[in-house]
Amino acid sequence: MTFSLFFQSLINGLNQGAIYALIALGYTMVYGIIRMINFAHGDFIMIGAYTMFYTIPLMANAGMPVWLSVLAAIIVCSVVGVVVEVIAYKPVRQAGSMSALITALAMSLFLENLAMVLFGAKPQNVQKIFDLPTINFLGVALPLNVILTILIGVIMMAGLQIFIKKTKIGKAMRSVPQDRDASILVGINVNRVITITFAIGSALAAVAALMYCTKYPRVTNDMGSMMGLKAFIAAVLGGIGIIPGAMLGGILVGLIEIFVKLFAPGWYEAITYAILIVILLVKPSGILGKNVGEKV
Amino acid sequence: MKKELFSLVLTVAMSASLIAGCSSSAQQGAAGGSKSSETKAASGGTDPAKDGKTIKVGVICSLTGGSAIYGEGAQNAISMAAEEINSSDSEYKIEIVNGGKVVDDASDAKQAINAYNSLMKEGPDAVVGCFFSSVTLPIAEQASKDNMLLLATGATNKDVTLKGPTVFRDCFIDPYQGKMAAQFAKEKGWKKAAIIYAKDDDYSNGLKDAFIENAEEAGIEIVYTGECTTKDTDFSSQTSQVVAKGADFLFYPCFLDTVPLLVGAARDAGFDGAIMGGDGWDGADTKGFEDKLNNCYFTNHYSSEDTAPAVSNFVSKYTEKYGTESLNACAALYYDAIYMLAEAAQNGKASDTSSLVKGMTEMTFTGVGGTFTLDKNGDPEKSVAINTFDNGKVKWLMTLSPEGTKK
Repeated sequence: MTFSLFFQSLINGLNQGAIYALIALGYTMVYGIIRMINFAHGDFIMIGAYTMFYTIPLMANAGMPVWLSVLAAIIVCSVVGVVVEVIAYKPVRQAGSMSALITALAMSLFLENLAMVLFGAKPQNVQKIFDLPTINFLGVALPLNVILTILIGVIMMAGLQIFIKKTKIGKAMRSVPQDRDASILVGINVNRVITITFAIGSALAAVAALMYCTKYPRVTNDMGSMMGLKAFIAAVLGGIGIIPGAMLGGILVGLIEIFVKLFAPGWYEAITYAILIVILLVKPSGILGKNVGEKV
Repeated sequence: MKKELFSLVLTVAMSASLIAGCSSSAQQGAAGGSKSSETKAASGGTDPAKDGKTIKVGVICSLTGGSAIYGEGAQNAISMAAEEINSSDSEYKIEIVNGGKVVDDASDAKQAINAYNSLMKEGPDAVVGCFFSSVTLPIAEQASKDNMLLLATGATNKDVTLKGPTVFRDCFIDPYQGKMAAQFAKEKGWKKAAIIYAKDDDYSNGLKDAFIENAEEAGIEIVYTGECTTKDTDFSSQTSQVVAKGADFLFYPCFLDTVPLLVGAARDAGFDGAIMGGDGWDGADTKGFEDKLNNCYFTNHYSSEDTAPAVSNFVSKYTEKYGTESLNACAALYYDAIYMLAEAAQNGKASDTSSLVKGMTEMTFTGVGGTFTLDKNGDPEKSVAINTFDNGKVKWLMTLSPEGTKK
């Protein structure tokens, strides 16, 4: 392998990984607070992507800057996230984690099929919001979008970390999974905390949708299911519930996929899923996982 | 606590693989209703009861999924062809069963067999379809068992017509398209070819094999062969390899929905050589990819810009009625198929299945797809149109015949 091919693949892997990481942050966020894996998270990305697909031309026609459609996507995703939480997840929360998981799976399929009815099954090309140039760096094509994606990922991660460690609501978020009853006793409105968690997690999905559409400018109703699964693997690999773990896991999964694809393109999915199995066997709490009580 | 997490995650992983497995078929199965444009009852005044002069035709195509645009074109084309034949002085009339509507195969082999079975209940004399090889193969198998005449349209896999003597088609076959792509590359003087193909798709494999075989004969070196799947969205690894191996030509025999992603990835990786595909590229969404699609080509069954009278006649009539959005090769092939059946009845002197088969065998036909003769397998040998893109619009470049360039 020549140096330029290696370096090019490194960039491609980081790009892919940064997108996975952004999605994985949303998974980890929700899991960290309510110990529930929100399988519909991938579909929130699809909703964010469709929002951008429809609002970008509107913004352009109205003479407004097109990046406003990212705000629109964030708002739509947060609203959908909160609505899903209140309507579907809250009622089954007392019934245990298995019921919550099944509800989330059902919600994922429901959103995909709803999207097909509303938006049609035909894949659509999304107009790019920003198109940073590709520069030639050491003989390698380096799209500046990659750097931006990684930068956004890091900022999101740091922001979340500060939010959770320093703010009052963030502290409340950390206390809920540790002891729900004690949290209520000290005056934390648990339901409100969970709703806010969903709003933030879904807003992250909108940001992930932005970066996804910059790299792969295409929306389909089932785009979220595959992306969501990969990001889930990334979250487990890094240690689900741990915010820096999501970032690390995402980047790792992205790099592994790209390098496997370079030499054995037929194998990359098998390898990705094998990682999940191996990590569950060897270290179920993930690379950064310590003991369960300390999460988030 | 740790154990609990472990078991939870394990359950999740298992359920996850469950959705991964079934979401795509669930998605394809759910949308029954599609926007088929107004379809007039195709019987055109003739008695729908059997009078020996009415050919009852069942039609199958994809109305849902990523290739729904094909079904839309097929629906319009068969309605148009049936109407024209029925209002002409043709001795034999066409009746499209299922109320004049195309039956959906959802681009899925299982759905296709269901579609075929539902058509068989209406007792057709012939079945037209499908557009995809992977979907048509099981139907061809069943049709030859039932002694039903199957006129395949876009199914280019060479095994389709080998299933039985009652199976015909009006399109060229895969090896042929791969061969013509290699011939085109040779004429253009490209020497180093790379291939990226979808290993989970019959069509893609067929084109790839034929291209490799003919490229070697044409003195073109294959420098890289990479796999992908029909569900992939990321092609950055494969296209980096294409660049690293120094290819000047990339063959991508896959379907329209991933074409923009592949072309985008190739251009991002710094590949500025020619990218070529087969008829599966027809109808690809080019919005936002206008620049990247420069120097891209695909072979097709016909071009709407071809100047032959049969083509321009079809194009102008279709455009007037349904606009240009669904005017693709699929529409042209379904249109030809209906006319071929009418001519087969003329040749066989009756409208029942066995007379149609007799009339169809080794017939010579002139239509939108050019003039061709069906060989003993039921396959036509015909010229291909080579299209390119001009600012995102498909533009006819040339028509390449097996003997060499024509105009």
